Amino acid sequence: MKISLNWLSDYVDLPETPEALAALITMAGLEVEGIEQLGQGLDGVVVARILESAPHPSAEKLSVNQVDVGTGERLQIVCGAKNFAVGDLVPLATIGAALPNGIEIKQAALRGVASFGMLCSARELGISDDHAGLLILDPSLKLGMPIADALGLGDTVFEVNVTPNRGDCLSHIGIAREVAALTGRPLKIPKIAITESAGLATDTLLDVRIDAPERCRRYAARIAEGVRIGPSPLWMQNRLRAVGVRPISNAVDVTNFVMFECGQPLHAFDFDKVAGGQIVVRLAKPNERMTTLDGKERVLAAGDDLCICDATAPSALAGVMGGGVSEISDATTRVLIEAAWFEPGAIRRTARRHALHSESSHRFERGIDPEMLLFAQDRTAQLLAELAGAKILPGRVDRYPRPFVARHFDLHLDTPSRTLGMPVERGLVKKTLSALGFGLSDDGRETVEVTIPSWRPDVEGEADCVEELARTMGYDKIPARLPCGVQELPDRTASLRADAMNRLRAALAAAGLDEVINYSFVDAAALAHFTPDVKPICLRNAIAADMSAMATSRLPGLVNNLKHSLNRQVEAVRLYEIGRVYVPELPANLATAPMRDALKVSSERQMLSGLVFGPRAPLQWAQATGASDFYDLKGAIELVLSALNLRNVRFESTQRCDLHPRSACALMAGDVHLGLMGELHPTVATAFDVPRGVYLFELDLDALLAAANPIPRARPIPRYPAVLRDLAIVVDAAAPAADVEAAIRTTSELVESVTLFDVFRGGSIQEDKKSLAFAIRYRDRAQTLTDEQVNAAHQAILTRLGERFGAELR
Amino acid sequence: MKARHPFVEITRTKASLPFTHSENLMSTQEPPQSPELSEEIEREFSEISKSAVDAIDSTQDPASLEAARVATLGMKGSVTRLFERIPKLDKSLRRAFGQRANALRAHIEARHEARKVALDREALDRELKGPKLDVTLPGRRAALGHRHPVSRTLDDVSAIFLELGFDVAEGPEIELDDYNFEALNIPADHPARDMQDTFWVAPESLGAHDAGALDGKTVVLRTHTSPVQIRTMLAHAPPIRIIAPGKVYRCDSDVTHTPMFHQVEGLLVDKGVTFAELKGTLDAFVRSLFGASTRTRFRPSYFPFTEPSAEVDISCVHCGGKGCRICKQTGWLEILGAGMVHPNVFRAVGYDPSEVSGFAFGLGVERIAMLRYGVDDLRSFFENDARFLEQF
Repeated sequence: MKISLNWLSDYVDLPETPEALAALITMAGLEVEGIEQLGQGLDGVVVARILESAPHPSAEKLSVNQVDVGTGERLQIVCGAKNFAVGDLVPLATIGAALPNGIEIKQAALRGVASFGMLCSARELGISDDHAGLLILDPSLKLGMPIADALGLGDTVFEVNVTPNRGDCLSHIGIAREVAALTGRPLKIPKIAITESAGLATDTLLDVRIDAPERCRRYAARIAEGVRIGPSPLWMQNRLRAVGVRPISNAVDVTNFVMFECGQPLHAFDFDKVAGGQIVVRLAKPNERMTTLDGKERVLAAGDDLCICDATAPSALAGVMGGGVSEISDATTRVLIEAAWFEPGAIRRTARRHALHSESSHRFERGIDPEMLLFAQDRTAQLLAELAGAKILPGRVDRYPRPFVARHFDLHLDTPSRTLGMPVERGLVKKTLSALGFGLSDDGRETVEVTIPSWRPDVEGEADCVEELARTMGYDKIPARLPCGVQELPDRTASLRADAMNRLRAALAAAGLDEVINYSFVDAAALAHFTPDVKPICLRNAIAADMSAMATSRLPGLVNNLKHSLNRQVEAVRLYEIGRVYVPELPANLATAPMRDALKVSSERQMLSGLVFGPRAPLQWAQATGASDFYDLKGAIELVLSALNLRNVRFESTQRCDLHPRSACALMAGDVHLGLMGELHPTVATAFDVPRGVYLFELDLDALLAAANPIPRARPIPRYPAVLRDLAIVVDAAAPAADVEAAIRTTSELVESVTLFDVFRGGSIQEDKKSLAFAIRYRDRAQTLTDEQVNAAHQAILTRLGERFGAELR
Repeated sequence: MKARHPFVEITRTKASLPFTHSENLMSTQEPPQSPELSEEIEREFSEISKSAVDAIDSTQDPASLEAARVATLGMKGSVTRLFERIPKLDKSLRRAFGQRANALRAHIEARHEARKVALDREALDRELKGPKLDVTLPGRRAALGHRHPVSRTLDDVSAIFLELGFDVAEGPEIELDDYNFEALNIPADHPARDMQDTFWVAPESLGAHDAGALDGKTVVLRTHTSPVQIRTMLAHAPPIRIIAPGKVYRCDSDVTHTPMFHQVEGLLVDKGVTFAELKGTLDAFVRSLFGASTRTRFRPSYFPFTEPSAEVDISCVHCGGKGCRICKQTGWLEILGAGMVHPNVFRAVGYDPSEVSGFAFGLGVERIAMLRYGVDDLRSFFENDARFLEQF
């Protein structure tokens, strides 16, 4: 629901800023979903007086006017409207103004006559649909005054999300009551003074009968005579527009105004169209029909739709929508003002049945205040008298078959403390509930009797009282405590290690690697092949000589696992191990340092190590298989990297005594060294008595997990099509394919992906050259690519590759 | 075939063997000549020896070495043929000739072995110094599949509550109105029903052809996971500590709504449970899932089945609460609803609200997945575009 702060401030003094008010009521349960500033976009539009007006020399429909904006200077304005006279005050959009409809005012010549601005209609100012002519302003306004001030357009409007239980807050007074309770400031309800005319008493002209009292607790009617239908004054129009209601006429606007003021939906009937001077509130009869205000004929649900009928037929669908017959028209002079209370559930059924969700049904569904009803009716009468010259007939008809009886319940004063888990002083309980309009018996007992105010049908008992207290105090005052027996949890974003580990192991399994667990103590001589520079930590009482040194690498163990399998006719061996490597690291102050320093004598790093050997896939009828090579191992590692969402890892050639120099390489993520991979060095293979063609890797697990991005950031799916182009080039045999690929990727922003799909040497290619073939996918995220764009990008890539790698198109 | 030795011995002896062994062989001298043989024979031995050694030492590859071996030590080889002459010799010479031939054969064999080792070493040296692989070429592999981001998020959320001691409970997705609404204090014709647009199940599709078959009950696709609360409380006495993750359905489909989505419901009922424990539990959850610096904000709100009720916001995971596009400049993101279980709900399941209390909460899994993975279009979760799925 929209709430105008100008309007709201009539009933309660508001906090300093709209933001402070929004925070206050949001934290009390009335969520402010949006804040809108009205009267924006009218800078440069001012009040001007027409000093002279002459016909345009060459355009019949235009006039040339001299206007004064209070500066003494005369401005010449060409205008197309006719509805003004010399001396009128009108809005002038001066040069530089930008109107709400997007028009920017510039100095212009209209059919040869210079114009220094634009005189505006109401529609051009964005305040109504009226475009019949200029908006003629109140003659008392000061010249040059900004139009937003002159018209009172400056306002702040809140979009408040009122939950279905708080029907009482669907009005400005309802919200003001909350603000008053929350701030301790007084609520200012307008005083009503009606001067009743000396005519016939209302009850002599009108008879009201309620045939369905279970559906209509109360029905009150007043009659206003001599109503002069016309537009309502600007202040009322502004308020209605601010809350999103289109002004129609004074009689209709007044009923809407009062509904938004106090929450009571009202209906105005043209009393001359109410046959027989009679109102009957009854359930629809079988096959009964009526035409509602929207012009639709509706078949009423017998026995469930409640209608307001005159002596002959239904005249309104109670609480939902009026009928066409008794609609207020320009000819209306006598108005019947209905204020009633209808049963919420039934109103909801009717509204849904007829798909008629109105401001009125919305409020009746949520339950309105039966005690506010007469106030609303009198307020309507008062405004009709003031704004439409109406005479209010003496008295009213008020049928109240089921009078409101205040509901009570017992509140134990300790209940709030016990529910909220914090001490709540009894004095505060009483004070808060009183401020919200609850009545409390005060006899000093543990339990008080609480009287529920008439506007709070949602409140049932103690639990509701606790909520009232909690929301008024602020939920932030309630402590946060873990339930009994629950421990604080680790921060999963800081250590997503477990998640990353699961993904890593799943990827290793997907790559066909079996996990092994080897003893941490191995043969020192075996370690020397892999880590010749590290002296291992040794045991004094080893089980065997070859189980005496703590591993400085897990690779010897894996090579021995391979050898074991090969000796037992296992052909394909693919293994990984997660385990630590141990290096002595004796702190200098070991002897003197205290225990609490968490002393350590070794550096222990967790390594992910692995090995592949033999056929890359099991023997299979449909698929040929070969021996695993470097690229099979690399594929397995790439699976792990992709599972960890680790992009841009570089494979760089390196030198290692345990790896064949042909394929030894280091894995780098930025500057971080992640580990090594390659073929087991032939001399080490000989030393271990295993065949050639063993491929190994050893990665630092902590570095790997630290570099991982276990929570990827999604990229939007592209909307525009891609263009695929292949590029086959000849480059030096030694040029790393990844460098060429990176050059392609970075040359044009249109390159979405680059896939190497062929590497070829021999044939017609020079001996020291190789051919690389790439599939390049081009895409622009903002538009469909043209051939020209792709050609240009493709050519730019070729040129760049020529410069950097001496590449030639194959 | 070499004998297989225990690993230890290999490293200690054999690892160095190729080098020491070959050096020894290279330096082996020809044995002293036998005086009994004639000069002519001696010359012949010397010539055979010289040409055999020349042949072997001059080879440059394993194939020519093998050819040289066959030419000397083979069946018809120059050295082997010496032995064929022994039976034809004078008896007095046979012994000396035989010894001499054996010595020559041993010598040639040694030279052959030395040459073989030398050639292997040269070949390995060439290989080790030879051209390198392009280690930057992509590896050979099958594509890794991906889990759906919503299912990943469901697991992450569930894992936290399991750690907090909650059990997982389940309930049907095709649910009776009684459990979905009535028992949760949402009577028919109550405006709270507007909060959840409901899918209604056609009774005849359940086999209910006459009105009486369902006994006036209506059947819906559950609009929230809250009916699992009811079912759990009906089946078990307190204390209760459950979460109920699963699919829920609402008759709504636009840019920000899908007709099916996922929720995780939580319920804790015991003696003396207060709002403070609700706050503590959700704070712990939020800090665990979104990071220790994440703050919560509990705002009063309304759910028919809780009283007091709260909407829970977290400080924006994107800007940390300063205000950005994601949080619409508010610094807060709404992620769940919660509250203390309404006494009417306890009454509906036969619990005594003066004896026990509890809290319940419900969170939208897609909302959390969107924040977690930076997904900006809710609908992409159910479009299942391969280009979307492969990102997780």
